Amino acid sequence: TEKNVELEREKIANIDNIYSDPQLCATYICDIYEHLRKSEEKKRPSTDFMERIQKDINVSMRAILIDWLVEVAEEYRLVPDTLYLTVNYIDRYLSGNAVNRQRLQLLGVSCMMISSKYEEICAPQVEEFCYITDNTYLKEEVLKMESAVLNYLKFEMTAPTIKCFLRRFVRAAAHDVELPSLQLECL
Amino acid sequence: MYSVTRLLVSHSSKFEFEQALTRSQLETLKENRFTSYVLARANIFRCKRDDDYFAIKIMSIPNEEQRDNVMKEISVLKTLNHTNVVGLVDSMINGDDVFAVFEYPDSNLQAYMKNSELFLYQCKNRFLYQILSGIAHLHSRRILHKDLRPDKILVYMKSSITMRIAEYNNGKAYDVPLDCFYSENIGFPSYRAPELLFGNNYSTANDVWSVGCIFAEMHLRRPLFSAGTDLELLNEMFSLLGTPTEEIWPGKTSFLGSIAALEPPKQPKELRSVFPELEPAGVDILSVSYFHNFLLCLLHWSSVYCISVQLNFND
Repeated sequence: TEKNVELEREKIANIDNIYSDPQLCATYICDIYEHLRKSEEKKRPSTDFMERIQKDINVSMRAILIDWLVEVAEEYRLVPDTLYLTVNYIDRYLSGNAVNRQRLQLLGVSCMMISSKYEEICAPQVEEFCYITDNTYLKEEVLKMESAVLNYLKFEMTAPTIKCFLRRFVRAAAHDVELPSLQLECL
Repeated sequence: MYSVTRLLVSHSSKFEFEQALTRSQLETLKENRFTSYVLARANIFRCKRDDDYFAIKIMSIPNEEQRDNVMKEISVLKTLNHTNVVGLVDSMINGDDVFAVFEYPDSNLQAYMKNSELFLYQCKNRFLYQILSGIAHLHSRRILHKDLRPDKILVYMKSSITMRIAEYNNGKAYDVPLDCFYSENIGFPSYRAPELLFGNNYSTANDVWSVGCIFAEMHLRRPLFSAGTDLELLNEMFSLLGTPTEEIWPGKTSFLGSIAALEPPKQPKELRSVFPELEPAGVDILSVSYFHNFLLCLLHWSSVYCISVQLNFND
């Protein structure tokens, strides 16, 4: 086909020609990644929300929040995508809503609750997310923040994470080498 | 499982239902310019905005698990945009209530199939094409349906008849390579692909198998397979399509032989005899053989051969 000819000319190995394994989605893969690139653009937070939107919080507070969420993800053994989605939701929410420092952690756990519902097979309960904040927030507050986030993000919770792309890049880069994808899973 | 698009179809028990809406629900609807609230079914209201009718499902969900599923399905619906996929017009949360707004469907494929006068040979092929187009769209968005059956395909009759695939309550977008494990609880057994019965992971091919079953059902007017258990189902599949040989299912046939309750190996049946409806005079012989080949392609033992809808389109 056209694609094959082009790849051959450029001396690039075709990694999308394994039709025998349905898990690899060989016939869809180009459409899938094209859509992922578009969707990445659409679901990207703004780059200057800290200066433009936020009044009470700053970059280092956000960094502290994210570091803490990494620990929460480890504590509850959440998969990497849950963490990546959490950060995506937080930043998208902060791109349009001013949040004060007392409620930044509330936003963090609420976003993590949403992403674990989306991604995990057994998501932690809302009580567990309250507990991990040392019960700084009530269950009702977490649920209310959850609604606020869902409404603001218009339920657009499906977003490509770095892992979606990394898996493909590693496959392309390691085409000639038998590199087990297990190493990637440990990320 | 609790699904947002479940039973979207009206059974038209038409009476005014404004009083059954709580004040805040009513306000939310009015804020969004919806008028004339008629209960269509359970918690689904038929509402009007401008000149169009919408089905609005209102879910009051204090139950967290249900809330989670609703959130997931709405976010899956939000990534889809295709004429043959049910379109979420809008969604809102107000307190415990989640509102999901859809275009108002006229029927579903299961109900529609029973109406023989409307169900002509030609439109079956067109419906099949529409369903496959919808599936191709899902798959190119990394979404697997996993539970396709006729009552989950909604029928819209505006200027022309359109099939739209509904109910994405098993879904999220998967990573490629797919890592979606088989779960017994998902999917109606009769439309389940054979490789799933052997614990294979889900793939795009499983949805295509289900479409094959649905297409056959359009012609038979009854489900192609109707067994209640996995074993009975396998026997039923084998007696229609023949017991798979080592060539078709490498490495699996010895396992098949070890299942005592399986009937002895069988030859595939002549599909022509199973689908006599296809034989009447006037039916283009080409379309008949095309149908047979196509059905065989959809219902192929080896998922490798019916790997994708896109391939089928090119055939």
